[in-house]
Formats: sequence, structure tokens, C-alpha cells
Amino acid sequence: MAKNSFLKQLADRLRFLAEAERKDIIYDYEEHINAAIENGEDEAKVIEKLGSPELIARQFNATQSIKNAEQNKTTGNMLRAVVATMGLGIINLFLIGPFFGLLGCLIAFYGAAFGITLGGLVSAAIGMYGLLGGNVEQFIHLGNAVSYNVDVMSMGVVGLGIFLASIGGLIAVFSIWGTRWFYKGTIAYLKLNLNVLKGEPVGQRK
Amino acid sequence: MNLKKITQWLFIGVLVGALIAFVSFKEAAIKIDGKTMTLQEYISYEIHSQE
Repeated sequence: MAKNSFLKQLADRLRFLAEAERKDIIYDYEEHINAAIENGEDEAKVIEKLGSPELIARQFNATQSIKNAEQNKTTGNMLRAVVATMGLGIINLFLIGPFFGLLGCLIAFYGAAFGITLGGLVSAAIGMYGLLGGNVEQFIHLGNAVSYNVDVMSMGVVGLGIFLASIGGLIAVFSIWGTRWFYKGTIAYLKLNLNVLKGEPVGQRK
Repeated sequence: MNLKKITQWLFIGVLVGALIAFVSFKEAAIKIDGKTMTLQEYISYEIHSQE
């Protein structure tokens, strides 16, 4: 492949990067190729050694999407970083399963937190209704021939409601912490994969 | 309010809610067929009557 064709293909595939960054990358590659040619190397061989423009662009796009996910922590950015790194074919497939498994667990925890909190709030509201003299027996029905002291039972239902709503809230808080760890862990894992691909020491920060 | 403060209040909510529920349900007097029983006795009565 000729130099100009290589650089054009690379530039086309880097269209998701900022203009200045794209120009920098193209300039660096052009300089590298020119220097090698001046040293007497064959142009085609130099370009062959560099690898395909598509793979190079994928690496830059993955690096950029990981940077974006680090700087702007959103689910969309994290998923884009995961997909971009998956595009390099270097993510261990055995770890993709646990990744989506953990993601599913987090979603389930948020669902459970919402359900338990809602149940607790409804329970507390029913109990309060009973304490304020409402006909609570339509909600707390133990049987046709069964009666109970409404005030005490309503108070118990209020307590149960507070208990459940707080448990739901705690699950939500732990889910938020879990999400933060999961986010950090995923980004660290993606960076580790990229470092391995680039042949840089693991843990090196750029 | 940060997450730690919220967690502290939620723990207090769990303890207070459990205490209120425990004390109240322990005091609950349920009347069935002329007999008065506690909630715990009523639950075991219901379980046995369904067996």
C-alpha cells in the first residue's frame, strides 16, 4: 500500500476523533513513514509493518472512548468503550459473561430496591391511615371471624413499612456503590486490555 | 447529603422500624372464635388449621 493511500484510509477511519487529534495522529504517522524512507527502508514494507489502518484506527477509537468514559461517567460512554474495545477482539470472552452477569445483577438490585421501598412506603401509608381512624380492615384483612386492635396493628404496619422502605433504600445505596466499583473496574480492565495490545507495561498510565 | 449520611439514616430507619413493628405486633390482640391470641399464636393457629 502506498503512503498516501495508507494515510487517507487512516484519516477516514479516525473521523470520530476531534479534528486536532486526528491531524496529530496523521502527522505522526507521516513523519514516521518519511523518516523510515529517508533511512533507506522500502515504503511498502514500512507501511506493512505498521499494520492495517483499520486496526490502528480501532485502537485510537477505543483509547478515545475509554478516555471519554473516564472523564464523563455515563452508562452510554461505558458501553461505547466496551464495544470499541470488543472491536479489537482482545477482550477475553470468559470475562464478557461475568461483565453482563454483573450488569444484570446491578439492574436486578435496583429493581429490588425500588420494589421493596415502594412496598414499605405503601405499608407505612396504610398504617398511618389506620392510626388516623381510617377503615384499615379493608387492607389488613385476617378473615371474616377475626378482629384485632386496630391501633396496635396499624402501628405495627407503620413500623414494618419504615423497616422495608429503609431496607430498600439501603439496597439502593449499596447498588450505587456497586455501580461505581463496577464502572471503575470495567474501565481499568479495558485499559489493561489496551496496554497488553500496545505492549505497554500493565498499570502504566498515559 | 452524601451517601454515608443517607446510609446512617437508613440504618436508623431499619432499627426503629423493626423495633416499632416488633413491639406493636407483640402487643396485637387477635380475637377469633371468642379466643384472644397474639399475632404469633394466630399465625401458628392458621398454619395448623390449614394442615
